[in-house]
Amino acid sequence: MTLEALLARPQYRLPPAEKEAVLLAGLVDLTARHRAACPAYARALDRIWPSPAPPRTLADLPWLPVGLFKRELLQSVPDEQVFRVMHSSGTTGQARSRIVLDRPTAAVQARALASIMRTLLGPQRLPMLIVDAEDQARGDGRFTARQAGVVGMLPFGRDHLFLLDAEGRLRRDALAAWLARHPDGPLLVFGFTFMVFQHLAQADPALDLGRGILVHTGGWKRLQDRAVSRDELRRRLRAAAGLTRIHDMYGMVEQTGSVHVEVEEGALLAPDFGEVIIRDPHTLEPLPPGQPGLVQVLSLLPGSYPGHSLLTGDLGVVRRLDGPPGGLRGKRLEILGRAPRAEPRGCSDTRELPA
Amino acid sequence: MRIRRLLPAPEGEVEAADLVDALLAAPTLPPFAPPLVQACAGLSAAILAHPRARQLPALVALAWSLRPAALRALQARHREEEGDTLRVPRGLVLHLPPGNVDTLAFSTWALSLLAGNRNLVRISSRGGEAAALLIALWAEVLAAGPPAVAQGNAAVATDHDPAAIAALSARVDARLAWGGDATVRAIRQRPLAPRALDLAFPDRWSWSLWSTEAWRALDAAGRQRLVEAFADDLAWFDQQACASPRLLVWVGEDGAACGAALRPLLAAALRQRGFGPSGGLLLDRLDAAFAAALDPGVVEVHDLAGPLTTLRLSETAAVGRDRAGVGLLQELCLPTLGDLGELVQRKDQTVTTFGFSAETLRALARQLNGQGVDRFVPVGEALRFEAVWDGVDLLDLLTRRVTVRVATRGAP
Repeated sequence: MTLEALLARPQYRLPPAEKEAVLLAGLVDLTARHRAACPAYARALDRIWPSPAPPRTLADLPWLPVGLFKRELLQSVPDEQVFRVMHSSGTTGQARSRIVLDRPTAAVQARALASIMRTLLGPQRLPMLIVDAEDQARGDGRFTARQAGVVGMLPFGRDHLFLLDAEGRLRRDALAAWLARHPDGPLLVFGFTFMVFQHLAQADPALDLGRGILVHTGGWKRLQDRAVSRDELRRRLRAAAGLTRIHDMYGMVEQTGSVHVEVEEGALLAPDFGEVIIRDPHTLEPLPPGQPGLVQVLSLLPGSYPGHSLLTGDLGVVRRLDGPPGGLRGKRLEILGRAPRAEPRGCSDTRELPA
Repeated sequence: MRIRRLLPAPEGEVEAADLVDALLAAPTLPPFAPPLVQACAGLSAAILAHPRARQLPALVALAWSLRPAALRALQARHREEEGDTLRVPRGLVLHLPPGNVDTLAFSTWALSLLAGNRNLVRISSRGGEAAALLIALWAEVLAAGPPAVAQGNAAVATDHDPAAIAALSARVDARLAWGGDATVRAIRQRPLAPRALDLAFPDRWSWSLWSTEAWRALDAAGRQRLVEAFADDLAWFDQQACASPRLLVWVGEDGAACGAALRPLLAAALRQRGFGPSGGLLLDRLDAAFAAALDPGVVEVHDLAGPLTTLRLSETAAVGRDRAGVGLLQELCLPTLGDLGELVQRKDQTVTTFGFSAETLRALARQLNGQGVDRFVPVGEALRFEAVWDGVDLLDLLTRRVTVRVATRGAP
């Protein structure tokens, strides 16, 4: 089955055995293509896995640590075909990942996200509320990951309303007018997890977004710092905004478009053109369901850069390998948080004295 | 300005100026005065008597270096009177040891104390179990000894507070600072009194030098002993101390084969010591290993997971002193010692060696003539703190020599 065929169908339909076969063939092919087109990638593979046996399962495939994209510009297309370079959102002073896109890869990323959203939301474009300020979405071709996240979602909605003004305040009047324009039917609500927490989950007086389907992304760290759990967020969203259909989304700029959506409560699913493997945090061996470890993500989308098999900096666990036949198929993933980079000890302080 | 005092008890907030006043007013003792020697010997005994402390190798090493015989040897080396000079303390010494090498602070504290100095030591709140134990034991030893000694020694917890460092630096007679280059620069911006000594121990780098011929001549038991010693050097302080080896240089023929034989033995010894990165630290090492794999100077990458990842290098120019990671070792094979060439740099502190005679190494040190390397010591002794550290004789530096001479008969 080709990638195009996978994108044309509803997601989460492939039974695991078939998915493994389809992905293995596609990823072996991608590995060979990137090897041939990206000398740095070929060199890394030759040094790290000098005499690999032919891969029999997805876990046998080579991978790159996602941090390598912060140190090296890895591209599998000539410069004149580069359409856009995406950057991860790094903290100040930290290097950012650079992801090189050609037009075909950028296009397939958009089609892939559309396929996932169609599966989640249905074929119609829904009226869309964005829990952010409009200037966040104004791009000039140089997108941050946050801007790209918003812009990437816009095609799935219509009559877009940005909920916040430039000072970050709720535009209640605009919201009321927008809700009056769309008195029936579902609404799409999108925002970054922390924004959703700040502006929806704590809205006072409460908002009435009961017809809303909330899709949020961006990680849980800031909520974890405030001891706000998944359940707590859901409780508050229901109480303060009337929201009951809530879908977390896990993805990264290094595999844009290949997002894992909370399709059933508490469980993220990889799309049919991607997969997740959990690896032991000591030995890197693949782990069975129920055992937490480092999250590796695989995707058929990255064509212009060797990002099709990546070891992330996240910890996660696969709860179940599959769902019931006829229902949603595939691994149920839970992300537990970033793998803590504990400060190693040493003579020269890693935390420098401020001048 | 207020700072948190850990020693003398009770712990609590004090005014920095008051603390310094109290230390300056404390009685002074000459170098190696019996109460000072007894305090150090007392700490040594306390560590060895404590059920938990004596399980921590770094603390046991400290205790060993402060045992009575070692103290006598130190005293013999630094005779109080020599010719027409005699030694006196510098006065009040401020110690700013590294945040997370627990025992280093106490080694230099002990040396400075033996020299007769009063001491103000900054203990990082990031110190681990060893530091916490040492503070507690030291507090007991000082409290049990003569007040003169206890009054002259204080510990504070300030972490990286420029204002605190400035307040503490203003009236001391010497300042010892450890840290990365940026830290040292920042500390140096806080002025000392003009007469004060400013001593810094910045970023250093260390490696190990092995003879292939000597390796091949070892029997299995000999190899195992050597491997255990090297594993100790690697495992302490998670290979992150400035004296921890980050590169192994084989000199002689067939270095690659020797390295291949060493690897599984070393991995087993490290596993036994519970050494090896996991989770986030493993990810950091993977980032470093993959980045290294892209470097033309790196010809092989071994053991991606597991206690130690080894990067075999093609030539001395491929050595990367900025390659960081817990459990990352670079490996280089050279035909002769003469091929070390430009490998040695000023940043290099400790080179542990195996299979070379003292004469050969002295000749090498003479030839290097300051190009780098402050210590050539046996494998297994990388982290054994010594009175001569970073090329500096601390006991010598922390004392002053007073010249006393009178006119001889017949002079005008």
